Amino acid sequence: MHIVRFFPIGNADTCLIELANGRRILFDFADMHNPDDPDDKRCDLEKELREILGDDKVIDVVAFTHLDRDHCHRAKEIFWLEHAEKYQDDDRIKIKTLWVPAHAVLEKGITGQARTLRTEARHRFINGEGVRVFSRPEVLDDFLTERDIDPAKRRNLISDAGTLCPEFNREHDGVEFFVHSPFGKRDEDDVVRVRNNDALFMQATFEVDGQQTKMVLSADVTHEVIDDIVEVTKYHGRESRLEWDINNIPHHCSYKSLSDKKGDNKTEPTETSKWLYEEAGKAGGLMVSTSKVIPSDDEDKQPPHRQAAAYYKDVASQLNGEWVVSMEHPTKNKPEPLVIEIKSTGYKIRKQTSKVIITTAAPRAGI
Amino acid sequence: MREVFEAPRSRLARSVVRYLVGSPSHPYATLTSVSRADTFDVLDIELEIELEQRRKVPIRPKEPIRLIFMSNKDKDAWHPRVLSRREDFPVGMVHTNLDREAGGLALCIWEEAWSDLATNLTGQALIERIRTWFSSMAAGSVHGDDQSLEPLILASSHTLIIPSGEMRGPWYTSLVFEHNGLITLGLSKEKPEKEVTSHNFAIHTPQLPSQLHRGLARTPYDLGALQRLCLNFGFDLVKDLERWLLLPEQLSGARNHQPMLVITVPKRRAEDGPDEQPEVWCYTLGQSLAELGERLDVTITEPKTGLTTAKLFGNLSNADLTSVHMVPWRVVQRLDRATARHFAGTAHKTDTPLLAIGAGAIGSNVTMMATRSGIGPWVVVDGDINLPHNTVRQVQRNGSVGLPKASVLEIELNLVLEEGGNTAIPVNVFAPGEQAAVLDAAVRNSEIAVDFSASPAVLGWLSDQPVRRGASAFFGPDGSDLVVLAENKSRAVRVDEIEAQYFWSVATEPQLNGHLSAARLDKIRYANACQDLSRPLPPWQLQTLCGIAAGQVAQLIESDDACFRVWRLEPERGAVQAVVIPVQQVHRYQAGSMRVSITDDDVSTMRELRRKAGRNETGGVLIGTFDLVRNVAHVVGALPAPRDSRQAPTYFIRGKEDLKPRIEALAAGSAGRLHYIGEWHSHPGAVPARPSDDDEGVFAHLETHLGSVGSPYIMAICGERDSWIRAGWTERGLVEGVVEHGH
Repeated sequence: MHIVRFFPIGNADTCLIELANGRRILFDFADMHNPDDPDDKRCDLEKELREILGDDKVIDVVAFTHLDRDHCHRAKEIFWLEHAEKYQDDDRIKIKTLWVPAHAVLEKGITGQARTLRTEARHRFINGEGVRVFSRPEVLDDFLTERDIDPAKRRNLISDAGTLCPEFNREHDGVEFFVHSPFGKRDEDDVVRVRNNDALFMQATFEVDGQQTKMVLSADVTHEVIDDIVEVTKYHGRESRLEWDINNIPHHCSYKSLSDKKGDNKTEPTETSKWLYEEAGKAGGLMVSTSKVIPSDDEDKQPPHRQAAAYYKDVASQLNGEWVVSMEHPTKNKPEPLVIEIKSTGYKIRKQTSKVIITTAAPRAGI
Repeated sequence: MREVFEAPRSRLARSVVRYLVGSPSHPYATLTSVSRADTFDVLDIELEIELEQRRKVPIRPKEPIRLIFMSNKDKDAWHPRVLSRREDFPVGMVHTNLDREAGGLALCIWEEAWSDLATNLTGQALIERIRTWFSSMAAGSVHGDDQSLEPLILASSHTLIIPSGEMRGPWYTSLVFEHNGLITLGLSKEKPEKEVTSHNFAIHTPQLPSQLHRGLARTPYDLGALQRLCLNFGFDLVKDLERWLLLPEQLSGARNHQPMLVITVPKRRAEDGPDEQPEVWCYTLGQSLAELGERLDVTITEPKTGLTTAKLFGNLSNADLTSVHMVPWRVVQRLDRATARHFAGTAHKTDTPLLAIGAGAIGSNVTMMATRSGIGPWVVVDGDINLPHNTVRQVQRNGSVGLPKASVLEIELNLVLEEGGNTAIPVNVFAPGEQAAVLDAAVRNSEIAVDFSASPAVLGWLSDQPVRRGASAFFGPDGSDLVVLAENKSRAVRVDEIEAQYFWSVATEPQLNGHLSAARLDKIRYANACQDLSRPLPPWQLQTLCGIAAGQVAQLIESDDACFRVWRLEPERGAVQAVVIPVQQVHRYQAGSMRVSITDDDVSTMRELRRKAGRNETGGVLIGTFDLVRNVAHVVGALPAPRDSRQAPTYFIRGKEDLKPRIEALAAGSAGRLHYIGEWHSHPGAVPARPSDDDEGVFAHLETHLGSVGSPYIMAICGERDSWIRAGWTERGLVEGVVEHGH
């Protein structure tokens, strides 16, 4: 059995995958909660993560889909970073391999957490180990030659769209990761334009006892990116690489990931998005919105948008599946991490009533 | 909020409400309404179900249900009803039932008796149980593969007991009994000698076409509903009834006979699967055949004469079938061995012919328990008659005192189930007389022949018989230890050879310390507990150990392996300790009527002592058992050289220091069954393990001293590559053999 977890951290992403063989993959880390605000229902992500890891403070792969705050907040406080001693105390969580889009290596003019992670990604890439960069390989040539590194010697650390990540394979790990983005697309003049500013977009295919369960992790992509991904994937005849049993829907349930128009009560998706959700979704499919509670009005311009939620919810219902919002699971009042088991029978959301009385300390007794 | 808590009158309903509304952690269930209906409390709840993505039954992540609780004084006896409120809930699934009382799709949540369940069922436990039921339903695991198929109609009230085996008539009334206003009617396949006429049922037994296993249908309470159900199953019941009502036996005395329908429905688990256990529905219809005939417009009964005849121009289509009320009966089937195995949880699925030698304390109880478990049939052999004191320990009762134990046990065993098949051969195995051929056939035909006789002589006899597999179960002399010895399926080690290993273990294994210490050395009978009147044996102790022995019989049938186990009961604490000892392989040599064996363990001991002696020869004495009647000797122990032995590269002179007390201790520890039986020594280096001139002198010495007293005498030589053994026995001959060391 593999386990996939999403966390109630508001409009932010963190997805931890624990494989049956003990290996772990973390997609993004954004510890958003405010410890000084008693009304903040977002979880203490660092605490949750440390409890799951226990004494084994190593994660096989940590992927930052892109370096926005809602995908990497407090990462530099938690992880052991190779590039500077100040990020290297025993309590930090080590990353065997860092996955980043090329943008995270090349982007200029950034500050804060993003800058620190860029430095870490660059450090690992220059040193030639512990990193995988997702892009068309040529895009990184200048960066390497400027640093007197032969680009050919770093090709093994770069994965282009349309390939499988070599860190995992179905035979030994029971999972494989197929990269959809960043990717290049031929324009009208038949020139490949690399959409390099885009975040990671992947499909994980789990396999248990010969039965597959597929999960799409879409990060913060817009519908234009999705449209291109679907088109390119169909062009290559790889529709199965967009099939999903679990779909972490993009950008915290923003309508912009479905269409340019929000719609009055329900967003009408573009044709390609419609295909991705309604055709590529498997029976009983699960849609997860890593977002705040879905609002009942349109006051907040930021996602989640109720119209987009209405569409996704309809799709889940048509598939006889489930629709889960991370800040609403299992209740809006007391959200908890969403724990998904993956077995030969597909996914299963754990819905176990917690035995609070025996899993926590008793209150103080005495005079 | 408090008002919501207090609204239901049933305490359990209040507990559910309190849990759903006030639980500090999310209960994965939401209370949507609380109401009252007459004497019932009604809770509507939306459950959140933990579901596999790929499910066998289309259960949804959210399922609306209704719980109905009785609020009046009968509330404790009335289990809460659980109804699905989903319009399109998958009907026809197993463990669902359209419950008339509750008026909706009721779910069969409870397996246990409500009175047992209610004592521990909190509001939370109830909700969790229902949630789990939905999860299991979705995964298709509510109804286990090993579970009986679901009855298509829930039954109640009167009880019909049908014969075991194939559910096909004709059946005869063998029993009618009324208890607390409810009738029990028993049917048999054989016509009873004395006709049972009470209640005057006229029984019709149609068989319907085979049906696929599915959930409970709504129980029909009138002929209209039953006819609809039968038509769905491809059978025109009313047409069939018409034909039956017009038969002469129904027409005569139609006013005095109450019609009873016993309908057989073959069921299968899968569309293309075989028919499994059929289901039988039973109904009584109205008061009499005459009344039914008139309601169906089939017959007419002359009021003055009481004569019933076919109605001219009668037409079934005139009948108002819904006005023919029916009373459904509970139908139960008597057990045969196969169904007994099912209810007893016996792993083996087929009959196993077994032979029991001894119908006394152990034999009668073990065969009885095995029979109740569907294990058998048994052939019971015993030449004794029942004596009064036997009734304390045996299955046979006072009425059978003075009669042959085996014959009485046969009757007792055949009374347990409806299927008999157990037989008796009431003879002593050593003097079967005219029964010799019958006994021989039973010996050859049984899968396992078990000696329950508590007699080593019988155990020896069994070893020499052409049985497929021999076993022996007996008690230690104080009645608190049980010993089970059994051959493997290929009889690689015979049960008398395992018995010899048992004596060696009893004398040397600390776990078996004291096992035979209560034995009488004057009379070599290890299990004298059963016969010894001076040593009372409490029946509870006997039953406890016999229960274990019966369990071992069941295990032996399933296992191919040999068995040497002892259970030691501490009567004060009631604790039983199991001692499991591996059965050693043996090397067996035969010449003429004489047979000798030596265990692998002995050969290993000699080789190890030889290795330790280095370039010197070494040796010691051999310990074993023998049977003067069967001319069999078993070597089970090789002792090391006494300290005063003289060991040199070319010779070995066995000393005597501490030897006598050691051999005496082995004899005492084995109730006199272990004896000094000869000598062994080693040949160093590459010298072959064959007797030298000096060795021949030793063998002659043994012949002089042991042969003269009637004991077998054995010499063994342990070499580098093999060991050599020779056994002599006065008037019986000489046997030689070689054990290749192999590795």
